[in-house]
Amino acid sequence: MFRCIYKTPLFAANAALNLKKKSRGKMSLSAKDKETVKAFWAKVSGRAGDIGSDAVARMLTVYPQTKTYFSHWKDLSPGSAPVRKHGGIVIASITDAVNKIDDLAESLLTLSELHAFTLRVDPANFKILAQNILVVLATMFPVDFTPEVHMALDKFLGALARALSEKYR
Amino acid sequence: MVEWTDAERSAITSLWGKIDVGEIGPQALTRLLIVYPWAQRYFKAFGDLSTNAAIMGNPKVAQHGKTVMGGLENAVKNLDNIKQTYAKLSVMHSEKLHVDPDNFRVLAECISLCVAAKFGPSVFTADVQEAWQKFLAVVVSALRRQYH
Repeated sequence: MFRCIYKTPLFAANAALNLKKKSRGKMSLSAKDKETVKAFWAKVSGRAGDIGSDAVARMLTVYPQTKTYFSHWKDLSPGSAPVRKHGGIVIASITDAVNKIDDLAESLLTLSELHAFTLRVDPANFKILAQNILVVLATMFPVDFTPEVHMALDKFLGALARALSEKYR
Repeated sequence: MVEWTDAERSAITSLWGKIDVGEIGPQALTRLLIVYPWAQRYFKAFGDLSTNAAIMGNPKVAQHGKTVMGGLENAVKNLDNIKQTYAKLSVMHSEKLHVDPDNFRVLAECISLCVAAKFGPSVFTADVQEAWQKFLAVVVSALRRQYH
């Protein structure tokens, strides 16, 4: 005889427990997430150049397969001119995205098309760069990089990656 | 078999020597449960995990974080044989604990971030990060290995 799982006491109890907890919401950014990201970014944006440069340098060192996208650079070593420059470009785009956090898909349309049709970066690499950005932020701002900030940033960078992948196929 | 350069071996053992498992372990597990709340599914017996404050103050979380982090000692001491060293643990996580192995990868990321925050950019350089993350990736792979 088929027994509907939704009517079992265990399922009901668990559902009631979940309702009592603060709402996790969808995987999209909540108002609190956006506030947290904006507040943290305001604190760190003074070191934006260093953050971008270090994140790209770490990405190239720790995940050497990412170097395949930069074979046209003369120098891929940490602190080199191309690495610093590219770090600056990436971080400026992220700062821009923070300012347009309420509508990432729309504001990243052009960048998405660039990555989709011209750069053709495998979207798996967005996650890799995001991880390195988090590492750099942890090293530079250990006190401000609380678990709450970590979560909001992780969600934000994930949303950024999704917006960048929009036009791929 | 995993190939370690001398620089990597040295970076891993040196970093491990600085790490206090009683400090980093609880931080890392706490972060996992807050940042990836679906991981809480494995810790129903731990009591109150309903708020971030509850998680951060939960003594069972702290104790378990220390245990898990301490488990890395075996890997550091057996860098050339991590697969074999963790075979039984892998079976246990699969057959007994039924842990989705993606959690190992995610916990490893949390560990790296806690280590990064603790030691800063002059100790946790790009090269040290490379060696450390490679080490954790090998551990994660060994823990996944007996799943079927």
